Amino acid sequence: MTTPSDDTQASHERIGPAIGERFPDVVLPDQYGAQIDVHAARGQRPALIIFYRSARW
Amino acid sequence: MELQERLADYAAHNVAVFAISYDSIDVLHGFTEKYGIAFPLLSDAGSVAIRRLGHLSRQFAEDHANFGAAYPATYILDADGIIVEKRIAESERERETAAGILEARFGGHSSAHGSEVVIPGDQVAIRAYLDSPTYRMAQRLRLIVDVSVADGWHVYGEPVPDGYVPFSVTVGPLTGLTVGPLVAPEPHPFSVDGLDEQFVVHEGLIRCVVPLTFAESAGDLTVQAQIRFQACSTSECLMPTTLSVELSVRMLIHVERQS
Repeated sequence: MTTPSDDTQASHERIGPAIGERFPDVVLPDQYGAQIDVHAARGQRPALIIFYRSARW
Repeated sequence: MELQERLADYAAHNVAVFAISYDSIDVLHGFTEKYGIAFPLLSDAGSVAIRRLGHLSRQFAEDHANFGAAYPATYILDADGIIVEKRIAESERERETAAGILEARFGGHSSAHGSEVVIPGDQVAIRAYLDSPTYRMAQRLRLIVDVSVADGWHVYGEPVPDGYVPFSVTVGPLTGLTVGPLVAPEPHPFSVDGLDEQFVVHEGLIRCVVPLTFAESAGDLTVQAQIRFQACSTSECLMPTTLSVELSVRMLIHVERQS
């Protein structure tokens, strides 16, 4: 089933920042080596931020 | 790369896109060249930000080659940078489709959603479609059913008094398919002069969503759904109606990663 059990739901919610919080400041290099400050780069726009495991495997 | 294909849609809705992994800049650069990625792939080599944000995957032991990878998730930020939605993969293998994220959160209509069926009707018209034309193993898609109920008419939510038929969407079984519960707006109370029963109804435009998870690679598939309802006005009820829709979805072969 797609609906997680209560235990699973609780442990998932502990992962990462919470809804309602400002997404933390993240400054990391992009694929060209340019330093990207996520909030600065998105400007006044809404954003989609994806954590994924790897581009390699 | 599916997100890349939808990038034009995100740009059209003025949404910035970023992806974060623990890959090195070199790996990400190679991936970008190979697939023509046009949005930032951020390199968190050493998993410093991943750890700081509490996103270190627990799937791998410390001595495993893949230790340091992030727990997959998607965050949706509003214009002020506040997290308004957060989707953590239920299992580490389940993934949303980019088209589905766009559809569900930004109210945008992805320009390339999956196959669609429209059934016109005088009292109730239906548009049913899949939010992606393709699926991969462990991916979640949505079956979206947009219902348009004519003025003066309504369909029933639950609980429904004896003898009345509530609105429902039933998806037929398919290899590897897990069907989640229907997500629909709250129906509202409705009473009719002269009738004792308490009703809850849907009126006007209603969007219902059925989550579908494809656990296996089962080839190109046809999703079959039955949409059942009874349309009533304050003075009459029509016979219960069952509409059948068939929506095709193609299987995507997993993209070869560079080694």
